[in-house]
Amino acid sequence: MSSAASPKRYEQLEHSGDIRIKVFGESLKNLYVNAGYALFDIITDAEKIKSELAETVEASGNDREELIVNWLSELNYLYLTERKIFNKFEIDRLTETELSATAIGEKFNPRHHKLKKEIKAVTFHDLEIQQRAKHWETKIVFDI
Amino acid sequence: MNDYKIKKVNDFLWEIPRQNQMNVPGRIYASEKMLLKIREDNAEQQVVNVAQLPGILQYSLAMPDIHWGYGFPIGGVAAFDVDSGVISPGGVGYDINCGVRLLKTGLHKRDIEDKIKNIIYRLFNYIPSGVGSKGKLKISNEQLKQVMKKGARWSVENGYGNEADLDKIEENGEMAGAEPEFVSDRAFKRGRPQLGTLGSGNHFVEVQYIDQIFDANIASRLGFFEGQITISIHTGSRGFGHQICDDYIRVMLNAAQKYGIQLPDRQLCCAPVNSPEGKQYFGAMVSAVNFAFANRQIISFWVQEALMRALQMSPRDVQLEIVYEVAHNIAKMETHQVNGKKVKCCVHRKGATRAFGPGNPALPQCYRDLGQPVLIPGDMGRASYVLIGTEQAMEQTFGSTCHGAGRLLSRKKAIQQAKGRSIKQELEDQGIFIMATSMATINEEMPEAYKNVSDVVDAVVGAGISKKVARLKPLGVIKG
Repeated sequence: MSSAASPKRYEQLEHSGDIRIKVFGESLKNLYVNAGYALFDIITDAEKIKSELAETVEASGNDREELIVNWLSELNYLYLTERKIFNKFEIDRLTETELSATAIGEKFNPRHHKLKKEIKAVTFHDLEIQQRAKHWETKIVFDI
Repeated sequence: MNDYKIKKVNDFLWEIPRQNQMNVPGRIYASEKMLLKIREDNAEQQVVNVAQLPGILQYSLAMPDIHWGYGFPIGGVAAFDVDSGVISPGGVGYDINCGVRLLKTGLHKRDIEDKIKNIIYRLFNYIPSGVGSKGKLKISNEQLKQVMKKGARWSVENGYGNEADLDKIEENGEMAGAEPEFVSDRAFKRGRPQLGTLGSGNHFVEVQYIDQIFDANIASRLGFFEGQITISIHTGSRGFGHQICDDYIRVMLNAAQKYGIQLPDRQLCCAPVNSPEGKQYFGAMVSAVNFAFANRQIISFWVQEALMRALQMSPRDVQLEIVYEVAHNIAKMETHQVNGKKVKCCVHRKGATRAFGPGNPALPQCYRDLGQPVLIPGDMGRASYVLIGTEQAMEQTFGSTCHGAGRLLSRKKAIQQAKGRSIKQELEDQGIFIMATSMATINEEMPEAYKNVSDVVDAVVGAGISKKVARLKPLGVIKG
């Protein structure tokens, strides 16, 4: 499910200072998966990431919103310090405040991957996770 | 978009009257034309949100280069009473002590015109830049702690520049109050490889010339002459500062709850200035402030090496000397007059520059009677300015002014507008040579993506919070 290509996973919105995206998910779990995908699609071309390594990622927060920012920050930290990039995420456990997942991807290699953008941080600006009739969505601002 | 009633104070100042949860009114410095643009953006709401924070003094202020950021607006100034107010990592921003250093030379534009490509090429080779750039320096955690405490002094002690440089840096390049024990392991890990790197995005080193002098007396005191070659360095604390901000946003989310602070936006999370969380953030923030001072001092040294090599000249011929260096993402403890009384406050400047007026003891002896030099970089095609702080800035804006042009277009729109064009070639046709690690950066940073810096400067000068000294035109730029 995490690699399903058909429904739109995210879109980029207007924002004069930084990067703002809207993420969609069929379920809350899928929203977290697609947010992770969007993060790496901003950094590089996420479709081109190969499945060569797996990493367990854990995150916690006081609520869903904090949790999604902390989840993305953990993933970004793995890129910033260990140059690991991912495009598949299996969420093993998800509560309102905690998440445990396996992220699958590879090491960034400038010969194979284009570095599009580095994300300084994932912000909490104007953050709200919303449940719509048939899907979940949220908007996230990245400082770049 | 929210429509707040806005009252005109004068041609360059607008007030959002106190309403609902606001503790103070909001004030925006801008011309009428610029205000319309600002209101189209969400920035006005951010000014209102900041006005709701506890202990804010006088006004939630916005400079004319204000644009939509997150939490506090970029171009925002907010001062909080040290006893009843708060300190907020979001009020400083992720790039702690992002700032500008201006260097002057003894060279005239005609001396280097035919060598500009070579100079830019050398600068690009000497200064690590671009996303994920790692420095040429290898430092240990112990050395990083010294950087946090000593700032630019650490760089001087390690062979990068001279003791005399330190006088002409805000805080003498060594801000007091650094507490490395409040800096996370993650920040150490991100920061260590990045000392002595420029970074990406809007960071740059630019070779310029003085194109116009507005105040001959002050210009001559700063050692300026028309046609003179100057160099600006714009960078900050890199991943080290980003991680410290990120860490403390989380600390402050919990602290705000603990101290019962209502947040109109989570990114405004904060704690009382005097709380343990507030003091820890301050100690960590100062550590990043000093990292950035050290970083610009090191890059400045490489600028000198690159120039000497490109021009085949000795230091004596180049006469490279620092004019001044400012921080434009910072929180500082300062004393200001509020309603006729001296109040100790924590002034947050996020995309705003300190602009102290004449006589202030924080200024170096050589400039004290003039006021503080203020460095305003513009986009890479138009111009940059040197301004000077005024007494009115002390009275109206806690001694603050604008910091740059301010973005007008989103990066997405800029890239759309650059499609099918070569921004690099367009600039080269205007006599501006650019090197960057990424073509996307050049497109995103194209001149049209920014407000015209001259409009921004005219607004702060019109409002009286700064005076114009000189205008600088670009000849060549290196970008990340």
